[in-house]
Amino acid sequence: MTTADKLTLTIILLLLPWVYFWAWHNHEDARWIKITQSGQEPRYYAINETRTLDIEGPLGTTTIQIEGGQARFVSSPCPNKLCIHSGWLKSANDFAACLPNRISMIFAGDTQIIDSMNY
Amino acid sequence: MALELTTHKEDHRIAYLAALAIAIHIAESAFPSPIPGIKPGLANVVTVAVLIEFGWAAAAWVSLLRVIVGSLIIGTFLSPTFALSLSGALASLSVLFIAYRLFGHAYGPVGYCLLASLAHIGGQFVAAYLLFIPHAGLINLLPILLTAAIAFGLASGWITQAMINTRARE
Repeated sequence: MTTADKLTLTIILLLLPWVYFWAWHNHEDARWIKITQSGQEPRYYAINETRTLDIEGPLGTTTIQIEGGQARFVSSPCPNKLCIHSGWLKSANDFAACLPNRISMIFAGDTQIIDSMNY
Repeated sequence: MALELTTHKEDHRIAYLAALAIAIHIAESAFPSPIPGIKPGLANVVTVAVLIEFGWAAAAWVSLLRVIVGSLIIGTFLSPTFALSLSGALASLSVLFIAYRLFGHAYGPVGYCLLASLAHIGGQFVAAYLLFIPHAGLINLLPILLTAAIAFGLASGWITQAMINTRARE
């Protein structure tokens, strides 16, 4: 290896941890789960409180679980279960919705990426 | 009327080296990869060896011939795979051009291979983001891809060094 090689390798290896930090660090701390339901004001729930929510929609009861700083759809009476397959919402602006039952939730951070939502 | 095509010694050399790179490229495409998007990129060994021995223009020929002919043989020509392969090669060649012009032989095979593999994955990443998956979630993959690029860049650097040493002894 030449000096230039070693220098380049050193610089790259020094920059690598920074890339890890930059890419994997949550740029924004999400603190609220915002649950929006057709025709109603959005409701906010703190993510650090463990709770299970049963929400009545046009099709029936949708269950949302908030636990360990994450939230997910647990069950919903919709045909495709896309909301459940969305899995856990973990970081700011993660989004999941159950369109048949008119319920959506978003991990709300300080800045909102969605201006408004209508069903 | 028969078409006369005169070829020079240099053409033969580039064809020979490109064939070598294509063979490696195809052999590598048959290898299963643990993580999608990560592969050793051993064909870079040929590109960098050519760069050091015969200059940037020859390396560009070999690299682009490899991408085009390799994709024709594998059957991915003009497919997304080809787009990624080409953008990686172009990014890698651009960075090699700059480094070669600025530093020339101050860099050895290891340095060039590192730069080439990082530029390669960088170009592919940007192309993947712009063309196929414009989602911020893609950023999560970047550190892993870069780590792999550094590891494989070092490995192919040492292989290139060994190759050049062997050639020098002959």
